[in-house]
Amino acid sequence: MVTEQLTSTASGNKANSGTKALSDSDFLRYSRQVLLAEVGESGQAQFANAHVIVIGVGGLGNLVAQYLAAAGVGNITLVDGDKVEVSNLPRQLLFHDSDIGVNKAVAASAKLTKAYTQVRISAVAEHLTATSMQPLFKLDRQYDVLLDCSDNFETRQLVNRIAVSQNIALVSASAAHFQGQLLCIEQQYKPDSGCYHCLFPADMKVNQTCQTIGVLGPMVGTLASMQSLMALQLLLGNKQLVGNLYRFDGKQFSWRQLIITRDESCSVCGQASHYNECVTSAGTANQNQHEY
Amino acid sequence: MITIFINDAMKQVEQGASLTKVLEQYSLENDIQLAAIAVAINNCVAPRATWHTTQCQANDKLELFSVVAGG
Repeated sequence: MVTEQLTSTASGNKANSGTKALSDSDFLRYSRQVLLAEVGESGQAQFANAHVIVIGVGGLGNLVAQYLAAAGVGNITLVDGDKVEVSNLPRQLLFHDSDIGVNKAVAASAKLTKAYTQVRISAVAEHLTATSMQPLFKLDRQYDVLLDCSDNFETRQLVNRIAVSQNIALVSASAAHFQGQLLCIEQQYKPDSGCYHCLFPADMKVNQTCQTIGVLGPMVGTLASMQSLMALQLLLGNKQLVGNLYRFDGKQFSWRQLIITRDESCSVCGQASHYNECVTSAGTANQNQHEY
Repeated sequence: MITIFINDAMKQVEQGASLTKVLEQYSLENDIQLAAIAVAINNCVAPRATWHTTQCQANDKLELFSVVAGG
């Protein structure tokens, strides 16, 4: 019987203060994960003690939330102001015809709570804006990982500003047409990698969105799986993926890996930036426009 | 002239040409908006602010891509 209090061995995140023991039933449920030397009982306890926040519960967020809940990540906050539409159903696999018209965060939370009773899932039925983010991000490093599953560039910029200002590890994925991108940023661990804004400045022209050029469900699913895996690696203390951009071509089935470089003049994370001011001012300017 | 590679295709550019100049020419030739391009040189992303001070070297491998925002 596993009764001892498990403590984490990895460094750097809130999950290390783990106080949740692994019960017999949990030990059985997660046995294939615990078998991994990189996970073990302590890693599983880190999952259980972790709190992640998922911005956007569309194609990416559906699968990410389900993977993380199934893996035993103990606290998951889902944020989305959209309602389920019929055009979502081919790739947002948690939803069915009966969910049409229901808020996505609420619908996903209800289903995942029923399926994974050991996980605490909360729903925020609002678009992420400078206003709605205030109660969500009250404390420094309140979340272990921030997962950007949104579907528009403006929200991605806001999520990045939050990650920088709150010192949260950001795992950002995106997909449209047959192109996918996945990246991980953590300022405290690897400041030389900069942030999402260093890579994609806010004034950059965006051509690829699912609404305008379409996407296949498995294309989004591929990125969501990788995003989930990356988040679990971070929760285990594996930081070797931080600072990399991975680009997936869904026609050629090729992955390209690039190293992200800090822009010293970046208005979000550069030397001249003021993190909190950036979040407040830029977020306020866009607060009526963030949807995903 | 020196030889560089843009998205795996060989290209001749002037010795000492800045990244800005190379990308402006490429965007014109390929009808791509410069404002929609991100670029990596030899697998390292070059932030936009460094383009005008970055000189292309022989055999540099440039990877051009655009932001994907869907999800």
